[in-house]
Amino acid sequence: MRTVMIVDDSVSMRQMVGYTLRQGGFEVIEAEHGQDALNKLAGATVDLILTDLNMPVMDGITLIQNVRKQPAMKSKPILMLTTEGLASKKEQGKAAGATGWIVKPFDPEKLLQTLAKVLP
Amino acid sequence: MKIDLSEFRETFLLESADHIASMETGLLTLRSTPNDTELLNSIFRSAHSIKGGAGFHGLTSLIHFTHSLENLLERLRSSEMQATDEVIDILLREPLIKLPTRIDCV
Repeated sequence: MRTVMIVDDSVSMRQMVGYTLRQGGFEVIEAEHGQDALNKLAGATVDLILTDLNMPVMDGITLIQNVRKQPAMKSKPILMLTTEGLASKKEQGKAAGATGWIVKPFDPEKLLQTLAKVLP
Repeated sequence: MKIDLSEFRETFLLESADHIASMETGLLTLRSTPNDTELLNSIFRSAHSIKGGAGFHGLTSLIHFTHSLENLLERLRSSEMQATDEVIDILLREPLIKLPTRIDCV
């Protein structure tokens, strides 16, 4: 079973994304912010990361930069979950190493379709 | 397969109530520390979080309202506008009074 890490400071968002992913047959690891994600990545094998951008402690862009430094995560897909339509934010994320982005709110079925596309 | 996320609405509403309380406390603190960037970021994140969740539950007026609130807070974050007592009063009197009403009505 493939494992997806969700990084979002919102409990309800983690619940909704987590539920969607479990319905899609994924195993889910939840993290509250970037630092929490880095801590949890240390002991886990993750196939894909879905991360929010605006978070306390460590934001999504900093998380992506840190994750890309890890050899095991160099080529794994990282998708930004964002309500921001700002091109500058997307460019920042891409420059940090994000594979792409999903705009919130998203259709749950479309989220699963997107994951199927980016997962090798 | 149709995935229904409506069962998470209650969690969203409870979480939003917490965010509103945090914003109110944050704005009151901001009076004595108007240049506290991290505090402004935290208030902004609360508004942003409510907007993000509102979108999933089709709460259109809440999305528009929190978006306007975000725009105002962004102007404070970017120092385009100063967090004077007057501005903080407006934020405290207007949006934070209206926001719980909007959430109660959903």
